[in-house]
Amino acid sequence: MTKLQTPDNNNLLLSIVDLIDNARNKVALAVNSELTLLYWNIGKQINDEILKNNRADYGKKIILELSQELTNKYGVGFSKKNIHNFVKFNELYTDIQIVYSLRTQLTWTHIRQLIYIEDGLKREFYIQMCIHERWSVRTLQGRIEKHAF
Amino acid sequence: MKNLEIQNTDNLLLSIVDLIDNARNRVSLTINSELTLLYWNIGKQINEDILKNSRADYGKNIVAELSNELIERYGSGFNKRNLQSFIKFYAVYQDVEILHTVCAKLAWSHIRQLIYIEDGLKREFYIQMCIHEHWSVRTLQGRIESMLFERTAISKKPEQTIINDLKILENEKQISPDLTFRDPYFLDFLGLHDTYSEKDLESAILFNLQNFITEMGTEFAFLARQKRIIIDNEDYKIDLLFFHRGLNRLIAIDLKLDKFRAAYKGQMELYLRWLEHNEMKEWENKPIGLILCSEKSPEQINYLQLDNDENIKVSEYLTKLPEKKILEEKLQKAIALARQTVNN
Repeated sequence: MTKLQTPDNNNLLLSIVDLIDNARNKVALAVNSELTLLYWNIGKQINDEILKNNRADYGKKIILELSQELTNKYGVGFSKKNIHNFVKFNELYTDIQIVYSLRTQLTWTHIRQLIYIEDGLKREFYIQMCIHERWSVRTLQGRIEKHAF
Repeated sequence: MKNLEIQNTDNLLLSIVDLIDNARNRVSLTINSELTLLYWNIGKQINEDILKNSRADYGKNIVAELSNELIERYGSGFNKRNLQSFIKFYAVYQDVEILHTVCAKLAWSHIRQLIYIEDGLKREFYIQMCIHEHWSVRTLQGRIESMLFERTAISKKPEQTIINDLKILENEKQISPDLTFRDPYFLDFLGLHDTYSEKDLESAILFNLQNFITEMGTEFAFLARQKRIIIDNEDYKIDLLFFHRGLNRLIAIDLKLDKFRAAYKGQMELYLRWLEHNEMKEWENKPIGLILCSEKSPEQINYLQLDNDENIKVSEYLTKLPEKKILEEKLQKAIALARQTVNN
């Protein structure tokens, strides 16, 4: 049996590995950006609804209800905490253009961390670091704790 | 005021559900077409490589070796049969333009069936039916087996034949993102081999059963839930796989959501044979199977073992394995719990 170690076969394997890795990357990007936009849109729907109603506890109440309904329908991913993140995300970036550019550069797991940095300048600093230095979420958390800013 | 509020929340929920479903549809389309395109490209690479080499057995060797390497890196979606399907896929669709239409509209699981239809007209017929009628893979297989195309071709009223068949299909399950997300190729591709939806009644029952059996004592060591195996190019799932320490053998459990049927025994024997060849260590005894049927019948709980194993007397394993009565109770409890989770 010929071994794959021969240069010819090895090239074939490498080019197939390359094809697979590229396809996986492309899909991961597409899924991530779809997810981020979806979360922003859900946040927007909820914010619009809350604005229409002036009762103080209304927001809290619908987040709880939605969380129960959506978790039943889709399983994990729609905890109260996460829906709260959607709302916060939309509050912070009301301009959809910014969301369009963020969603291709950061994962939702990054964004979820970043939106709770209250100081705008500080937040922008960390966003740029995540994008240009390709920080993982763990690195980001570590740096925030150590006050890299 | 109160009613208005409830109605508003309902509307909000509906519009969010709409957002989610649309996003899921788009994602499942993107992934499907990316996956199919990838497979076609792999088929192309291998084809071109084989053409460059004149040795007769080269193609066979290269597929086997590539398959080994790729399975190690990416999982069983790259088994030999599947690599051969990629090559076939490329051979059938060399035209990139047709390829893009097919990729956008059909899942790989469909294409894998369709490319082996040798007659071009017949293949095109089924492709169109899959696309326009949103057939699931199972529906497609069923229609091919029932020879819909042949019946259509010889019928004096071909349209009526198709319409009649489509009526039968109306109530059958159509392809949905949920099905796509559970497609093993899809999961392999994303590197999510063992994910399962908790919304699925069967998965929920298995989850509960797994817990119950593990709780029965330290004899049962849990190995896998819905372990995917490939026998003769068909995907199968062993629902639960345990190792029994006292009996020193694997125990495969198959859950069926209906009455016991003879075919279930055959399927379990297939699993046991596969386990014997692929999983069993030399110092272990032969695996045994346990079929659990949710509907009551004398064979509702059925222990099964291949051939006659002289190492063990039936009475011996009956004392070591849980009694049928206890198993039946556990099964009913698992089903009840699962129904609650799923319906809630």
